[in-house]
Amino acid sequence: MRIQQLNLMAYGPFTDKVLNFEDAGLHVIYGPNEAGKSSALRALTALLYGIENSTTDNQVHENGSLRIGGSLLNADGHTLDIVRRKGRTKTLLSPDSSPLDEQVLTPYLQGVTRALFQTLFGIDHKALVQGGRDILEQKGDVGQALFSAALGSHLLHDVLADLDNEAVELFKPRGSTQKINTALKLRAEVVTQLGVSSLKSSTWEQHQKALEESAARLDRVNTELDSSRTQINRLKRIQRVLPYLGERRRLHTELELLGDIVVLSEDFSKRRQEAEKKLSTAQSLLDSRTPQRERLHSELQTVSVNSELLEQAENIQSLHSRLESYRQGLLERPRLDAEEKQLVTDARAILREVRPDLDWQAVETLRTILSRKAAVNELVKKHPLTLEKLTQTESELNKKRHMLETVRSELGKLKPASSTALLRGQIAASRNLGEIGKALDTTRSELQSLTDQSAAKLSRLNFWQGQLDQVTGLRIPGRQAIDQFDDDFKQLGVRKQQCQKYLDENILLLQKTRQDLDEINKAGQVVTEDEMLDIRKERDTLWQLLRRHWVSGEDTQAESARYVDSNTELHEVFENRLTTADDMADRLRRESSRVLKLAALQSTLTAEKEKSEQLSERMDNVVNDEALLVSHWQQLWSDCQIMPGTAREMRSWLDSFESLRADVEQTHSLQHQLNDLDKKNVEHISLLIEQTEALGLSIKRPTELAAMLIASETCADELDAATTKHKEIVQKQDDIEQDINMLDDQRQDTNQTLDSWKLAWSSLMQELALPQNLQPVEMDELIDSIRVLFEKLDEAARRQISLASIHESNTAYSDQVQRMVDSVAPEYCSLPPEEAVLKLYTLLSENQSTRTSEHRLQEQIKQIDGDIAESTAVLKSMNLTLETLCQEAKCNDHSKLDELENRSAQYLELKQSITSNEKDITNAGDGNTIKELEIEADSVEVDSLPAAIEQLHNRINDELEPERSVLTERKGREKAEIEKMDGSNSAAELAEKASSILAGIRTDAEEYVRVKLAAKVLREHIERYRQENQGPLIKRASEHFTALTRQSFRGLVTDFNAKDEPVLTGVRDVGSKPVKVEGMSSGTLDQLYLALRLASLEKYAASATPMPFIVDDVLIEFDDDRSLAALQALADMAQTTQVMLFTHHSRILEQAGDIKGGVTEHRL
Amino acid sequence: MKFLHAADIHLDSPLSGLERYEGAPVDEIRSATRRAFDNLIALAVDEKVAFVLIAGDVYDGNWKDYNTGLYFVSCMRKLEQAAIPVYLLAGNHDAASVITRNLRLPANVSTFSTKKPQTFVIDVLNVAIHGQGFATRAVTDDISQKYPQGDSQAFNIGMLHTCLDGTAGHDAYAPCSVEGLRSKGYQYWALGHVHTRDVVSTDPYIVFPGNTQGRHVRETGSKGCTLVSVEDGSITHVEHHAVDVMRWVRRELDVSASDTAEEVFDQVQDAFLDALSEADDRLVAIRLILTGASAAHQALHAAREHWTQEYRSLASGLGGAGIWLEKVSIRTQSSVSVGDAYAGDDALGGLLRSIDDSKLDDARIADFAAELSPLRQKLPADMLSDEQRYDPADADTIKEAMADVRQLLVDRLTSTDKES
Repeated sequence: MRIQQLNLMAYGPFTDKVLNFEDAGLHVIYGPNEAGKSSALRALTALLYGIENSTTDNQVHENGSLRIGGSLLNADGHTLDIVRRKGRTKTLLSPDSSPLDEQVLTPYLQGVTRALFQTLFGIDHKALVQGGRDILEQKGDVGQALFSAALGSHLLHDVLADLDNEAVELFKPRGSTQKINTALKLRAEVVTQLGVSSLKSSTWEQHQKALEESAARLDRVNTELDSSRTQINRLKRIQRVLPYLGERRRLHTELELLGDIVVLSEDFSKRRQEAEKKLSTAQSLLDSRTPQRERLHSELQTVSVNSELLEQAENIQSLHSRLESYRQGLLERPRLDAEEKQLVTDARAILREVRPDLDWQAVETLRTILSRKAAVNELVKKHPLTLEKLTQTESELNKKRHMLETVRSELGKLKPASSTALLRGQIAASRNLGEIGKALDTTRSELQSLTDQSAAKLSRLNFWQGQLDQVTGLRIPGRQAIDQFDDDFKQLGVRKQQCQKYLDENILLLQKTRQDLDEINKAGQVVTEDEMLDIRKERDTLWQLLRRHWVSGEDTQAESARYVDSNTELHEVFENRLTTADDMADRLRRESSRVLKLAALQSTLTAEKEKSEQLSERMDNVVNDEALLVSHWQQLWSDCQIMPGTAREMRSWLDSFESLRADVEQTHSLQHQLNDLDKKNVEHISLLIEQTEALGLSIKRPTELAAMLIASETCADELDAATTKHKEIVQKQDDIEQDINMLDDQRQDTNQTLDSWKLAWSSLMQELALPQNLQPVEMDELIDSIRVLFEKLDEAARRQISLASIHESNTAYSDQVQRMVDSVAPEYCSLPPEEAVLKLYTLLSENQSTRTSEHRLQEQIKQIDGDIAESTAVLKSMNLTLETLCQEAKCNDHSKLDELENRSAQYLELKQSITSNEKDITNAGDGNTIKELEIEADSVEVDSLPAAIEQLHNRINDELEPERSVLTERKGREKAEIEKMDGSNSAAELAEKASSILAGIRTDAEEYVRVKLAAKVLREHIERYRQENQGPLIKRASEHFTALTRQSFRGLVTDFNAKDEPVLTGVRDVGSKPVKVEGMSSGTLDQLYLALRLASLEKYAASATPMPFIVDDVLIEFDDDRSLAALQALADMAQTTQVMLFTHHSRILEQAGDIKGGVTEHRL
Repeated sequence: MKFLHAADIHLDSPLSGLERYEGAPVDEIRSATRRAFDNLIALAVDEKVAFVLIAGDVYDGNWKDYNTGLYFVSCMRKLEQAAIPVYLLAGNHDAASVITRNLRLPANVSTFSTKKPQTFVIDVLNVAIHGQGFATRAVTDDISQKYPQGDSQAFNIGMLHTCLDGTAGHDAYAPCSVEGLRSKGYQYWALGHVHTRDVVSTDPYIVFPGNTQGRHVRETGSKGCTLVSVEDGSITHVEHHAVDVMRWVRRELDVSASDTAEEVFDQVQDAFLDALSEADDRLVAIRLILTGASAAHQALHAAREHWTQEYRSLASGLGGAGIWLEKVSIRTQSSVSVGDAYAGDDALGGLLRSIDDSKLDDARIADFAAELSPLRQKLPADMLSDEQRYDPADADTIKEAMADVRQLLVDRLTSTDKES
């Protein structure tokens, strides 16, 4: 590939800077510092591979507007114009800025990546120096030097060293600090730990067994301990109970001694003592009361009272209390008399005012008016109410009559409507059909699109030229049949291909064999064994003839005639054959391999020829089969008049056809659907028209059912509205008529009421003897005056009654006082009533006091009598009680009761002691019965008890307890051990750890394998490359080296170092000692590296299309001569490979002018 | 009636392939097999199952810690307290395990004979359970043939630890055929040994419940046990219940649409989030395999270590139940074909051609293997032999490594700067 043009449209410091590289020969691009040489250099790479993200060439033009244009020329003469922009994707553009696929570059780049382009086809000063130094570091190692130069990589040595180092850092067979070694060690430690943490099943079993054994033994010891302790308890109990049992026996003996006993009740003593005490108290009381009684009786005889006066005590007190009211009456009488007279005078005045006509004596007749006051008030109140009601009713009646007029006139304007039920029914029925209109539209449009689609599909359908209506009926082969044919064709194809392959191979082999034969033949006739045998035979025959002729003197001329001619003698012929036979034998020996090869080739030729015939025959068969299959295939399709394509095509055709057929069938079904819908549409429109006309409406017949439905519904709605309105008005008229009737009735009622009032009023006036013309309003005043009149009269009457009453009571009082004085104290009869009463009252008080003293004496006598009677009764009762007690104690004399009580008490005391003793025994005997305890006590020898107890204690303390504590401890220990084995996952965690370390080792091992193998492969290849290329490459490099060093060196040769490894050395003069690389100057080393690079690139160019070789100022440290030589070498190279030399130095440019072979200069 | 069918618990078998790194959720993976088994026990109790079937491989064959057995016993006790009987069948691993020898299981656990088929009958449920355990590590006969015919009046369950008809990836133990199992007239075959859940047949049900916890990247997806519901002697439901505490995911990510390693990073983030949401709040151990031809190929390979670290920190920062990045395998290709470029170049092209598979004959592989032999000798034996074996001197390993070697050499030899 060549870069024909580089257009720095907007890149680095450049704008639209065009560099034209179309000319052959070396291109020198000169740019002083700051001119943008480096940018231009980068632009070359960027054009091909994209502008780097982190580019520094954006100081003048912004990232978004960076552009590099270029024109590329391919080895086959194609050109490509491209523009590169900066970005992430789609950075390759055509000159008109439309994006290009990166793939268009493939034929130009031929897979050379950016990295490869920069190493393989680029060299700068740094790389040159590094390359030279690398050669030095490798001490001239030929392989590395050649490979490094071929690769353009100046870092080969470093790459190898890095690989080795990385491997060594990862692993060393005997190392300990390397990553893998460390991890292996760590893992081994974890695995060891794991072994320690792992619990062995036998360990567990061992502890489990020990635990069980300790537990069993502990159980035994515990049982024995328990039984010993029980025994001690029993013996101790016997010891405890023994004294109580002795006491028990003593008590029983005492009881027996006491003999028969009457057990007296607990309160016996108390009862006896009480009875005796009460008896003595009663006797002494009786003795003191009798003389007292005598004395009181004599005192009573001396007291006397006026009992008549005392009997009248109540009346006298009454008279005394009424004395004040008697005195009051005497004072009241004159005032009352005056008041009465005034009231009568007032009443007479009123009467004269209201009824002057009436006599005072007849005044009481007016009281009737007051008694009828209620009736009068009633009538007076009713009159205005009735009048008001009448007025109201009449006004209402007039209003209603007017309303009726209005409603009647309105009704006259309306007429009743017909029923819409039938129409509504039909509408509902039609609605039920669904939206026919929409369905019709959808179906029609579906049908249309399907028909269009089918037509389109038909037009696209190849192989068959029928019409749409033929599609359904067309008989086409089945898919299975096609698949079968497909398989058959494929098989046949494979057979054919195979056959062809064999044929091709056969032909190649034949050609090769023939060529080989030709080559052998070209190298001269090959002597065959047969030819040699023939010559030898002839030689022997000739020898026999000669011998017979010479030795036996036979004439052998006739026989010799066939071997000799006129110019030759027989012996000459013989010599000739002898020499020939020897030669042949020599040649046969010398050329045996050729001979064998010839034989082998010939036999191969024969065999391949035979094979060729067989293969041709097989091929013929295949072709025949194919023809037959094709004819069957065509026959299969003949029914439907189709000239079929391949099975695969036909399968796809079948798909298309079936799809078409499905569409056509669908079309038919849609057409049916459409017809049905249309029919229904028309039918329902007719039915609706019929119904509307029946209702007397006329509608314009629409085509759509939906429109018809809307029209019908509007009609029905209008009719229904009219009917409703008519009904409403009729209802209103009825309501008003009813109201009028009601009001009429009401008016009549009111009139009647008024009449009856008038009648009642008139009769009342008559009854009360009032004038008929008296108005209801005057009535109130009249009644009030009459009421005041009678109030005055009533008050006067009450005064009169009071006066009479005072007179009567004072007279009665004087009489009573007189009678009382006459009866009880006649000595006061001359006194006026007031004084007599006061005297009587004083006398009464004195008699009452005497009577009180008499009563008190009588009371004292009565009390003493009571005491005497009570004491007598007590004496009698207590004697009876003592008698009963004697009976209880079974004795006759109550003086013996005391002793009997003592014996009973003694008996009871003994009984209580026995109970207490038994309780003690039971308490001490741990709940055993006395009987059991007695038996138990009898069973042992009392004196041996302490010894036996001691013995048992010793056994417990000295043997059993220590054993138990040992066993308990052992059991606890084992149990703890077992509990420690709690199914812990510590071992499992270690295993996880080991596993993760292993995973790490694996990762590192993989890395180790990679770097190790990489180093190995690389070294091997370097060596192979050396072996394969060392001769020609070093020869060519030697020429470059000689030129570049201006004959300072005569060339390069391969020498061997102390380890017998081939090393590069320079040769100065014939016969002089070779110069090792260690002995070359750094400049010479640069030239050596350049020589190798140039030789390698030439080699590359010989076998593949090279990319442009970009050289960046490599000559700066060359002296003028060598610089010129290098320029010449680059110019030579530019004849085959595009070479671009970038430089900062004008001197280089000057020198370039002297170069042969054409140089193009470019200035930035 | 409901019962639980589990197998291949492999208690305390370590999770393999999880290299620890900073930020890795180390605590979350601890005792995963135990915690999964705890979940199973809790499920049995919650569902109030009538019984639990364990069709072999409770233990890992070469695992010796008796604590594992004691832990198993404690789990069985929990079921005993809930009055749930357990029917236990020894698998190949159990036969090899030293733990089983002295272990005393609680009374609710019935263990099948290993000498001949045995039947346990649960009268109250009218259930007959037939089975025979492994006496030795390798049983290669079809032991199901000798199982008794099913009782037509009862609900019959057959328990068997088997590879069935040679399921790939598992040792071919106790081989048998679906037809053979069907001929016994059982209603349910509770199988074990194959670690992937598989309902082999539904009439009768022949079920591998899979293992209860995935232990390496080949055991991906939901792991657990099978809950079977039976009504009137017929199976009404057969449901998988996940009990695993951590899920293995193998995610191939086609990065051909990404042009830069940063875009690939975004894709990786999406893949992580997907994996997390698919795992129902479980920790995820993920193997990431980047494939496809991408412009980012070179960048990914050149900084393989860097990107692995980046993905790891991404995984640590994502939250959720957590992600453990098990491994990143970069198998991308360059978006431009480099083959042509080297065609004419004997140096690099020749080098790469020499690495091609076709050039890797036995002699060359043996040569490479010899180079790696010192490493191989130092590697622990179980690394060379276990399920996740890695043998650096193995021909396949070398062939696989060669693809990376090729890329590595291209990267380094075409690098222009020592620092890059």
